[in-house]
Amino acid sequence: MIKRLFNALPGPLAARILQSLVIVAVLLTALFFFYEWLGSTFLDTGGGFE
Amino acid sequence: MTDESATESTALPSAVRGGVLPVVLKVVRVTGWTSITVGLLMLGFVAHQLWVTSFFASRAQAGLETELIERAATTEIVELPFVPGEGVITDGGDGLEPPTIIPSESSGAILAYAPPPAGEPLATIRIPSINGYQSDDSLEWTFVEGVRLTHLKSGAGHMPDTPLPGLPGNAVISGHRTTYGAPFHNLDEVQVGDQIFIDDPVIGTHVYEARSWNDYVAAYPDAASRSAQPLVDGAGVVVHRSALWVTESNEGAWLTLTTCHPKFSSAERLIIFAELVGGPNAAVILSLS
Repeated sequence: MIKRLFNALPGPLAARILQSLVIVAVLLTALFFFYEWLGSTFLDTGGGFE
Repeated sequence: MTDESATESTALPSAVRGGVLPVVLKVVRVTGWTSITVGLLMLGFVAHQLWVTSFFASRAQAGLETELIERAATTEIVELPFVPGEGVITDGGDGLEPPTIIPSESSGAILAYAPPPAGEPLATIRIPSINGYQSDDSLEWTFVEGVRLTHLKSGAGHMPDTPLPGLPGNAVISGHRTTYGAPFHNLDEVQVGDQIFIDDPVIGTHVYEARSWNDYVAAYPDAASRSAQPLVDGAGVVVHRSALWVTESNEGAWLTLTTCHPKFSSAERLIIFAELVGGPNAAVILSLS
């Protein structure tokens, strides 16, 4: 599936690699903030009060 | 493929070979990949919570310690009149009438200073009787002003609407239990009578002693009607996560430490109540309260 998605990207190989890196970076950043929100909301809010 | 398996394959009913089998295989493949992806995401979450947040908090600690020393050198100390029962008397600003100060035999002066802006370091908390998270050393942690999520990414913070440590009233410090360096990870091990030090680089070290729930109720009978569950072993008290009453101001000078409870959950709060017993302001506050 990953191979198919990669091949579906437009442009030559170099452009597709660059696009892949950008997409991965964006996804990892989104995942980081999702983890932050998840942890701060449900796991350990820091002891403050609602 | 061997002849035997080929025979078995051709022995399958045509409906299975043509329609059902490919669908089943696809479902198995999708389920497998989904399980692997979800598993990796969960592992990533655990790694993030345990190590990534602590890495950022530890890195912040190093900067906060330096910043704290620099700020202390430029902070102006003031002497404020203190009247028991009324707390610190300010100069009656904002167009309000100046407060009445009870005659000198029942009042005194305490050292104070303006709190730093939110997010900046305030002081260092030390609890010699418990260890820091995954450490053989006793707990020592520099905390900031503020308890919003962004402030608590450095581990612990002082609740802005409460007095600074060492002043009359109830100073509240909240800290993480399992993430962001987990400074209050072992707070449940604090015993009644354990000393808690607040190293304030501006006016000195304030010394508090942990009190039991019964001591707290004896000092503030109103607390008896509150829903609280004292720990069997230790000075800690477990309350609901919305129990804002633990931050209410008290007569005398108290320190309230709050953190999440149980570990790896934010369902409840673990509270340590401690009373001021020593430090630059203790003599005045204790003699007048």
